[in-house]
This record gives sequence, structure tokens and C-alpha cells, in this order.
Amino acid sequence: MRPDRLWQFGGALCAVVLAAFGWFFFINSEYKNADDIRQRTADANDQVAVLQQRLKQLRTDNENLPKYKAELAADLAALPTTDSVANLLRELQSAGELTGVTVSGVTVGAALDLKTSAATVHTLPISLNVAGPTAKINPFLDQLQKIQPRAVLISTVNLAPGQVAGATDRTIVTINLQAFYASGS
Amino acid sequence: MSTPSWEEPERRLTGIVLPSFDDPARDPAADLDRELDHDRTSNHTYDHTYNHTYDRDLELGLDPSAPTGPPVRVVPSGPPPAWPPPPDLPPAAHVTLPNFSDPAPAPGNPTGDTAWDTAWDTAWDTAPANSPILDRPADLPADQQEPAVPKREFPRYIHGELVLPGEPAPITAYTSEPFAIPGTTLTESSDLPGWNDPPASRDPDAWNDPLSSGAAAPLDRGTPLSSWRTPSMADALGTADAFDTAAALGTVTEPAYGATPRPPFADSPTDSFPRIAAAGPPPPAMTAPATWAPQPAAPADTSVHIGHPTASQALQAPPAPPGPVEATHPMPAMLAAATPSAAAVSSAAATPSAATPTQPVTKPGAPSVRTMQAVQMPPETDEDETLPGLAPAVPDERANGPKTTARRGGAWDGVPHPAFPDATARTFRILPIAADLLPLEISELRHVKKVRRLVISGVAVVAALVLVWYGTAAYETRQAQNDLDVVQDTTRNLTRQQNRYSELVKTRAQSKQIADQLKAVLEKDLSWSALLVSLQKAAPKGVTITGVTGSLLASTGEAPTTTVGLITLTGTAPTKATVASYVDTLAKVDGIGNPFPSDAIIQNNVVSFTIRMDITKSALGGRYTTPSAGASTTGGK
Repeated sequence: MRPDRLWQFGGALCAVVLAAFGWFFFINSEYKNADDIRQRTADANDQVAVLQQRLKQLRTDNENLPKYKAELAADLAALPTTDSVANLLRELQSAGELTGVTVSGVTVGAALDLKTSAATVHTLPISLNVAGPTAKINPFLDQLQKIQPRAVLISTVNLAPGQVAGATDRTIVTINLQAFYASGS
Repeated sequence: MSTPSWEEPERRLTGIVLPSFDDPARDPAADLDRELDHDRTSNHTYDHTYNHTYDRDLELGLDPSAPTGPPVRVVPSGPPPAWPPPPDLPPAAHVTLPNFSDPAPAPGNPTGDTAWDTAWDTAWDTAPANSPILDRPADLPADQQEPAVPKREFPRYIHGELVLPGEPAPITAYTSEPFAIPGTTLTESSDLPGWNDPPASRDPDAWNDPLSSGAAAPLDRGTPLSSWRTPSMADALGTADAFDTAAALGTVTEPAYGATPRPPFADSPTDSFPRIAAAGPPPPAMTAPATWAPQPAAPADTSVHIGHPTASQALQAPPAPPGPVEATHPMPAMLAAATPSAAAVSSAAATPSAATPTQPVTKPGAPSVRTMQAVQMPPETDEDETLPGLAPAVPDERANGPKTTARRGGAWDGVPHPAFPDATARTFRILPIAADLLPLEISELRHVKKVRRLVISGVAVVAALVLVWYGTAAYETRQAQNDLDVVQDTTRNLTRQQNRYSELVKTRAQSKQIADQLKAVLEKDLSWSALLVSLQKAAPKGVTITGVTGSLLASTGEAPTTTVGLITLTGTAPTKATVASYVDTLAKVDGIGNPFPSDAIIQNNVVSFTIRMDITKSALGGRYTTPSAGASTTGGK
């Protein structure tokens, strides 16, 4: 082969090899890195958008922080971290007095563990003996279930006419209920 | 060496082939005759050329009849003389030929020129007795006087320039300034070397004559030379010598030249040489058989005073070679011997002396002295008769100049040089032939080197492009990384801003946790008051509820069914139908399902009954659970 042809072919081959080497070992990897970084940048942009939205919501909710604190306090009253049986008795006594019935007896059993999906809650079985007019029974029940801070679950209600001297409408109610507390939370 | 037939047009010339003068089979005289036959009306002057050569041989002691072969003409080594001399000048003096082989100055040469210093001497010596430039004693009859041999010019290289015949030589060669610009116009005659120094052989009277005689006005030193004293003239006659010659020739007239501006001297050869209306034999027709310029057309009405060459004749003289005038040019030697001095010539030249032409100064008695008297001319006639005729000749010729040709050479075009009588323009032409004589190996090596340079350059360019490509990719990567960094910075900034609301977040999170726990433990919470009211309201008239026992089913961990608890209701009714109606009504109460009267006993005309029923999911609902429809407070009514 003529030397000039040899130089021409060699030069062309060298140029091709040089271009391929540069592409496969340097340029392509750079492009891949650039693509990955762009993808991460896109995700980060989405995250930034979420964060910005959340921050905006936090700024709005922060204005209602006292309300949330009150809710938390109510929740803690409904499900205290301890059994709080004394408070429960005071609440029962107060409910009877408020509704016009007489809470004659309260029996509190041993705490039982109740596993839930959220956490383990301890259960206190309590039995109440209430006597009062029939019309006052329902408000007393509503006071137990809907008004008093401590959350209770009435499992059994037994209404029976009472036989009290001098009273024509007297109902004796026996209520079995469960009070809860969450020690671990 | 055989002379190639270089005159044949069909033959291709590969170089300049000079005619061989030592070819025995060639008769140079015959060649010259053949060349000039068709143009010249009289060619007898050439006979004298060689006759004179033989005369010179006789003077040298050689026997011309000796069988020495044909005469060998020697090519002069120096520049050619200002050829040709004024034509048709009658022989005026006998010329003492110098010895060719004698390098010493000629005895009659006052300037110290050697016999071989220039070829002019050769031509001069070989000129016929009636050479137009020789002032010979008028010892020969007019009928024996023959016209001078026309001579040819040939291109020369003067100071690196190719000077064609008829083209003026660089004037700087004649100036005293070593660095003078070529072509500078002489402003005074004193610029010429040796101008103010009259040669010893010159006649002091003649030297001072022009100035003292008042025939011509003194030179205006600040005024450039007129056109007829331009370098073309000087070139024609050897610069200063040309002026001398002009004066010596009697000078004559510069009629129309003084009034009509002459073109640059480069065009001066286009001017025709005025024919001399001589009374003697007609001048030889100047032909241009194969020369570089055509034969100028001689106007019929142009005549010159015989014996007085005009200035135009001097102007039309071919250029003289440059160089030191004293050393190389033959004219100074010739003119040194001439009677007219340089001053006289300059005066004559500077002054338009056409009206009062200066009489040539001759020394007939000095054979070794050449004068520039109007030689080869017929007997003088009245100047007033001829001089005026010269005036209109040149302008007409100049006006019709372009019709001749653009060639240069002047009136003496076509007149062969005595040294090269057979030379033609074709002989001296430059052939447009080019050939690449570079060896193939060197050409290939250069080609390979060129290809190598190109290939290396190309590879370098590709490498540069790859680098640029990589740089672009890296730049994009850096740009993306910068964008990511910016976004991450934004994320971190937002996160930091969220930390300021940690209490809120914590409160809400804890509250939510507790709510979830309560929801889980109070899953079967229901409003017992609402349920009891529903049972009470569902009872028809006459039905009295004496007791209700309700309980929730214990959690089994399984999915809650429709029934979440049981209610057992006892009461009294007036009739069984009322009880049945009550059962039907309970079936319609929301949260109560499957009411089933288990017993109905009539006691004391009252029906005591017991109904069992299920508590359905619709009865569920509490403070921490999803409120359900709840028990109907209307009791199904």
C-alpha cells in the first residue's frame, strides 16, 4: 500500500477509535450520570413541592395549635396513661348528681390487656348500681358515654323496676362497663 | 555542430538555439542576404561587412586567400553597441582598425578603451568603409560609398531587467549616483560621468565651442532634459556620448519633438526613424523579417539634411547597455575622439537648434579619430530645404504609431546585429515551456509528508472534537448536579422551616394516636339511651316495658357480624295481638333485628311477654367511633 494511503486509512481508523473510545468510556458515562442526576433532581423537585405544601399547611395549622392541644388533653383524659380509677369514681359520682340518679355502688375489676391494631390498651371492668327515676336513666347513660371525660364502654345494661317505698316510678339500673388506659403511649 | 533548422516553423524548439557561426556548410552572408532580401531594396551593405572583415585581416597580416576556411565571426562578449548607427551616411574617413588581440588601449583612443573592451569596437571595425557612424575622409567617391551594414539588436539583461531591443536601458547606469532610481530623468548633462571632463584627444575648441559660440543657450540645470534628451536617447547613443553624437552629427532639428510631448521612452522605439532623403543611393529598406518590431513606415515627405543627422535619429537609436561608460561602452571611446565636446553636445541638445543646426566638427586628417559627423550622407544640401520637412514627419508617425505595432525597437528593428546576422526574434524569444523536473522520489516524499500532516491534523481535530464532546457532556453533568444541589438545598431549607412547627406536629400526632386507640377499644360502643328510647317508643298503646337487659357480644377477634349484642325485653300487654304488634314494630326499629317473642303469659287479664332481639351494627356509634344512624328515637313510629 502506498504510504499516503496508509496514512489516510490509519488516520481514519485512529479517528474512529478515538471517537469510540471517548464515547464509551467518557462521554456516555457522563450522559448517564447527567440523566441520573436529572432524575434525582426531578424527585427532589417533587419533594420540595410537597414540603412547600406541607409547610403551608403547618403554618395554617399552627394558628390552631391551642385547639389541637385541647384535643390532645381531651384524648388523654379519655385514655389516660394510667388507670386513674379515682378520677373515674369522681366522674361517676358527678354524673349521677348531675342527672339526678344515685350511683349506689361501683365495683372496679382488675385491668385486662386489650390488644388493638394501634397499641395495647389496658381495660378496667367496672360495675355500677344506679337507682333513679326511669326518665333519669337515659341522661345518666348519656353522661357516661358522651359527656364525662373518661371513655367507657357499656357492655351490659339491666333495667329493672325498683320497689322503693313511697316511690311510684323507680328504676334500678345495673351497668357493667370498661374503662381504658394506655400506659405505653 | 550542425545548426538545427530553427527557422522552420514546424519544428518545436526546446530552447534557444543560437546559430552556429562556425558551421562550414553555412554561409552567413548568404543567410543574411536571404533574410533581408525580401525587405531590403539594397543589400549591398552586407557585402562590405565581410569585405571589411577581410580588410581587417589584411591589416592583421592574415592572408584572406589562405585556406583557413570560412571566416569565423566572433561573438562579442560585451554588451552590444548602440546599434545601428545612422544609416546611409557616406564614408567620411578611413578607420584604423585596432588589433583584436591587443588588450592595450588603441593608440588613437584617448579614453583608454581597449580594442576588445566592447563589441562595439568589433562592429565598428568590421563596419564598411562607408559606415554611417564613421567619419571617414571623403577620399572615396560617392558612388563607392556603400550604406552601412544594418545590425541587429537582441534582448539583454541589464541590472536584472530584460531589456528588449529598442527599450531604453536603465538610466541609473549613467548617473553618478550609485543608488539612483532607475529611470530617473537626467536634469543636466553634467550628471553623466566624464561629462565635464573633456578627453584629452578632444579638440579644446570643439569642447568649448558650443558654450562659447553661443549657438545654444546654456542648460537650465533645474530643467529636466527635454524628451529628445531623455535616457532613450542616451541609451541609443551611450548616454553622454549620445549627446555628443547628436551634436557631432550636426544636430539638427528637434522640431516637432520640442513641441509635441513625447511618450515615455519605453515607447520611443515605436517612433519611426525618419528616412533621410539623401541625394545619393536610396537608403536600404529596413526590414523586420523576423524581429521584434516591424519596420516603421517612413513618411515620404520626411527628409533630413544630408550630413546632419537629426536629433530624432539619435532618439531612434537603440538603447545602449548600461554600465560605466568609460569602461564598457565603446561609444565614449569613439566619441572621445570625436571633435564635438560634451558641452557642445549638451548645448546643442538642450537648445532646440533645429533652426540653427550645428555644423558637425570633423577632423578629416585624423584617421584614428572617429567623429560623429554626418557620415554616409550624400553631399550636404541646404539645411533650410530639408529640415522643415522633418518636423511634421515625427508627429505624424507618432500619431499613426499604434497602427504599426506595439513592439519596441524603433526604427532599427529588423536590422540584424553584426554579430548575429542570422538571429531573428524567434531566436531570442522565450518559449512558454515549463516542465517539472523535480525527481519523483522527492515529489512523492513531499506528497507523503503533506498527507501525513493532513492526517495528523485531522486526527488532532477529531481528538479535539471528542474532547469538546466530553467537555459538553461533563458540562451538562455539572449543570444537572448543580440543579440537584439547588433542589436539595431547597428541601433542607423547607425541612428546617418545618421544625419550627414540631410542637404542632407532635400534638397532632399524639392526639391522633390516642384517637386511634379509642376507636379501636370502643369499636362496639353504642348509645344505650337511644336504644332504650327506641324500644320504649316502639311499644304500642297498652304495652308496658318492665325490664330490659342488653349486652354486647364479647369480641372474638373475628370480623364483626351483623349482630353486636342481644336485648331481652319483658313487659305486659293487654292482648297477645298487642304483643305481636309490638314485635312487628320492633322489627322495624333501626338497630334492632330479629325480634323474637319468646313467651307471652296472660295473668290477671294481662299478657306478660318476653321478647328477645339482636342489636345490629346499625346501632353502633359513639363519641370516638363513626356515628351511626343510631337507634331511632321515635321507636319506629
